[in-house]
Amino acid sequence: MTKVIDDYIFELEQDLSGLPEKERQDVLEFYREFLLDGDFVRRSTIEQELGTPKQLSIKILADYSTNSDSASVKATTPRSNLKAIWYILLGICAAPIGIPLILLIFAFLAVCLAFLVTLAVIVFTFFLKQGFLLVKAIALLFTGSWAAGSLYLGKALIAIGIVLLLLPWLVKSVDFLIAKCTTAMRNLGKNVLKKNYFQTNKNHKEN
Amino acid sequence: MAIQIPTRLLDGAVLAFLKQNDLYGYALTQNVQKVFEISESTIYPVLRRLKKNNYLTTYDEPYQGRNRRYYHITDDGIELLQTIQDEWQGFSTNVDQVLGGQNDQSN
Repeated sequence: MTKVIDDYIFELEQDLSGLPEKERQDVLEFYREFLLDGDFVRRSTIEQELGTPKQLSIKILADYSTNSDSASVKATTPRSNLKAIWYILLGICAAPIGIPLILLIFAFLAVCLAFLVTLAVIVFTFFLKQGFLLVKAIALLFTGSWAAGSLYLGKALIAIGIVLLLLPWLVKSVDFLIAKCTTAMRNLGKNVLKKNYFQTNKNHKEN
Repeated sequence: MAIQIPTRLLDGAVLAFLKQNDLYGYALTQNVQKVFEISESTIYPVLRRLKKNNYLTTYDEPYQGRNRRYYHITDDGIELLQTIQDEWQGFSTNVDQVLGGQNDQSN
């Protein structure tokens, strides 16, 4: 009888692998209990109420990611930030909002991504170029123009040294950028998701 | 043609039910759904947030060989409920003046 429920919860668990363990157990327990108390025996009725495990997991993850900026969560890392952005994005895509908004979000993220890629390419080419100069300079050392060779060697080493010193700062500013993007996404998610999650189907008389 | 339900009211409704009785997830969802037409997946995030902010606590009680998690309102929760009730009183009075059933000519 409860096999249907177990299956549903099992699938939901798979889709929630991104959540911290405790949070995942909590939410799974809630829905398991919910389904048992509601005497759900058919998969179709469950999905009518809660959606497919995938759909439900997207809502859960989006909610978790939008509302976990308060103190209680463990220190955020760029990785966890990127994960949060991704979950919120999925949640927004799942919510019934206009295509223009989704396009706008994608455009925004694409710009961020392009920026990061450009930065990475610049740093990479720099090292490539300096490495090349280094090899050439070392080769020069064993020729008649050893003096010019050591000059170039020194220049290349200084340049690499300076960039290596700057690198942590660069990484920090990228992290900062990602964190800012996450905050922006959170705020956006809060607005979009809240609106659509709590939408009523028809007018209701208060009082 | 839908009136969107602010989270604030949803919080208020959940707290109001819990002030009468401790409830488990399914029963609470049923109760709230009698008032607001919300989807089943709306309640968990609300409970999670209220619990995180110490407006309610949970405890487990055995039921038919499994556990049921009951939600219990805290003093902070009762206070918040009072605040929301006051806010709603003011709001609904104002809206009623314009949209209420007995439509007297308000300015």
